[in-house]
Amino acid sequence: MKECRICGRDGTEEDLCEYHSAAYTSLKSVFEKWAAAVEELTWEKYIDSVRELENTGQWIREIIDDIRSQDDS
Amino acid sequence: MVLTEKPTAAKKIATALDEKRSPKEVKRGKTSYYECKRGSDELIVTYALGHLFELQQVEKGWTYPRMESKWVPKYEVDKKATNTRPIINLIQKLSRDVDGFIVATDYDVEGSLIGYLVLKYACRADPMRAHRMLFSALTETDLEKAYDTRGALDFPVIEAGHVRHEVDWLYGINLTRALTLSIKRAAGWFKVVSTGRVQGPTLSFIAQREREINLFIPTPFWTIHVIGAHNDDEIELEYSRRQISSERDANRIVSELSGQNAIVSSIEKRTVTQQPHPPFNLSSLQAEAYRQFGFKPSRTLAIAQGLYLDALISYPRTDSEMLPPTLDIKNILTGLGGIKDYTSMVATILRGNLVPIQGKKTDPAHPAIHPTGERPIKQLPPSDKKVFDLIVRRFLSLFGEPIIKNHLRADIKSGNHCLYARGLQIVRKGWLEFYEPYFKPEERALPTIKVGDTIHLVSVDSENKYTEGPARFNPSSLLKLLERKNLGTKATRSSIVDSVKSRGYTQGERFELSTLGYAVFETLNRYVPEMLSPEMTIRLEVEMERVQSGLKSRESVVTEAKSELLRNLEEFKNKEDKIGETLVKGLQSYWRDTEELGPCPKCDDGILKIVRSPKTGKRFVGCSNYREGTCDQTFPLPQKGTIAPLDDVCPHCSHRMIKVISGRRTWTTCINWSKCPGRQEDLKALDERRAKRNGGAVGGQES
Repeated sequence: MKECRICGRDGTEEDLCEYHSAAYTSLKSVFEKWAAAVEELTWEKYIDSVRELENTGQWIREIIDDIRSQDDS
Repeated sequence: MVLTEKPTAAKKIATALDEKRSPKEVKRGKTSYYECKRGSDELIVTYALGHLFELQQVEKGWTYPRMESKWVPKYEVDKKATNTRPIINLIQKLSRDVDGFIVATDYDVEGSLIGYLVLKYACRADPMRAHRMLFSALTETDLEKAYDTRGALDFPVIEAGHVRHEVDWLYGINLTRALTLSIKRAAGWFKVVSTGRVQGPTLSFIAQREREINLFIPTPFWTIHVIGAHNDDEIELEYSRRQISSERDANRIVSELSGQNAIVSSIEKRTVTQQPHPPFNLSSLQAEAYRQFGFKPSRTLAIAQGLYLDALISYPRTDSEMLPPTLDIKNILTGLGGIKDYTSMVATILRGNLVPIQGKKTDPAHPAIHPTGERPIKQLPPSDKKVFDLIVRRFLSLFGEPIIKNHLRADIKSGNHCLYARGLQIVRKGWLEFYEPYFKPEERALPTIKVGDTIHLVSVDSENKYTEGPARFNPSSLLKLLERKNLGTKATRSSIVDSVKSRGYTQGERFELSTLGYAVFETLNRYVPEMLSPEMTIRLEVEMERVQSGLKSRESVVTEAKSELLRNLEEFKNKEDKIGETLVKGLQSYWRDTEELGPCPKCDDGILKIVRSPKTGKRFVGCSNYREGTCDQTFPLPQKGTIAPLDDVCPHCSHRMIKVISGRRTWTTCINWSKCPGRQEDLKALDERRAKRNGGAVGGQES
């Protein structure tokens, strides 16, 4: 079993643990809701906005940081 | 011999039962008892200190499973309970020369069990021949009545207490040992990691909430703010839909309303009456004391218990929200009238109908919490005074008239859009006159407008907001959840709430799951989820209630609990290696999070850690190379409160920052605070404050 690339817990799939895997799934599914609410929203703008919000969950922030770092590399 | 639960209760009971209200206190070393006379009866009133006997395992060895237990004096189990030894000895000695026994402990499951165990193991008496005094308040009237109407011991209640202790003991020691020994096997450390029958499900609730918080994604919505002009007045108007779910719709509404006129189409007045809140039971008192004063439920219970022992209020461990018709309300009110703060309120109430508002919940043993009408004989400490005032005012409010409020709403139309103007007017204060400091509805005047008036919309804006995530538990909401789920009892819930925190599973005032909490939860959830399951605990609670009702025997419940526990422990044993490894990983991560402060600035290859001096017990930051004698870097730390390392570094000296949480105060500082150039002003101010108060927290910036 692979370790989660974010927190080192035991991973389930795509080297993410169940928490960060759930965070990624949730992030993708909520994008549709955001896209219906905000005009001309791109995925990048969406994750940037979510990352900045005070009430965003810790695992969501961490998966966003991970997505950004993968995009950068 | 009258057996009471605590020294304070013994004195009250002895005074009430003595004909001259002047019992003789007989000192015997560090302990004492009372002698009193009542008619032809010569009474000896003795006291316990809560439980004098505890369960101890029969088989030897700190291992599991351990299924057999016996009752032994508390000092044999708890080395700190040395004060119980002289009391047991005294009761034993006095009991040899008495004709009969009366149990006058608190009228609840624990009280009944305490009395029974003392009778059986200290007095060696036949419990079948003993009597029981039942009372809900320690007033002289209640106690005399309880003595005159004493009956037999309530054996199903005793059995219920007995079974609860046995089952909790079985689960507590076996599960805790299983977890602890799995760590020892995996890493060779001895670190006690505890769980229990109710603690496991409680941890599970906290972890579930933490998961929701950590996975929360706020979603946007918009609110519309409208200011209208009417004659020379500005009126704040509400848009009919509180939340607009899309930016496009919000922009359209703003553009369609801006600069338009709107017409008042109707004004609706709704008169509502609001009855007083029901009398307090323990959980509603704890919730209200937390809301009003920020008191933890365990603190409120301790204060209420003290007020009960002072005979100022009735017995606090009650579920009831009802006052019995036999309660002498006039007498209580007259007594309260003698307290200056309540004199005028009581005079008003006594002129009216003395029928209180009742709640719905009942308790077979005790009425709702109420004042007894007795005046405090000494000045109450501030916290006690607050809780006493809350209970008195709640009691007084039960006799108040309903509050009458007028809710006013004007509907204002502009095209297809509807706007509201609202007002709230209190027509009659009613019971609020008595309970006002603790309940304040906000009045708001409705603007002077009438149907057909035109309002010009001078300002229309939209504001982008985001949904808020689930809130973390606070002590009060966690306690309520346990009550709703029927986990634990009114007497045990507040200590369970405290225990998840004291064991390091949560941090902060708001029950944030710690790395250790995660490690324990994840391990149990993955390998033995039954230990976290509320269903199993709830089922046991129901079985224990059946014992109390006499519908089931204690032996059968204990046997079932044992076989279920053995099944769980067997499953645990099979996975012990993996469980140990996971817990060790979690503990390492917990210690890293809570104790490590990054690389040592002096030697570079050491790690700074929070450690305690074995000599003084004081904590400080030291380098991990200190033991090898290669680095002597240390930093002083505040000695009070919890310290949490932060990821940030100090902007002044580049040392790591820490967060200090002490009570409700939280502040941040750097580990170099005593020498940090940016903190000298703070230190100076602190020294001045200390000189004034002669005490207080150390360094840093309070927030």
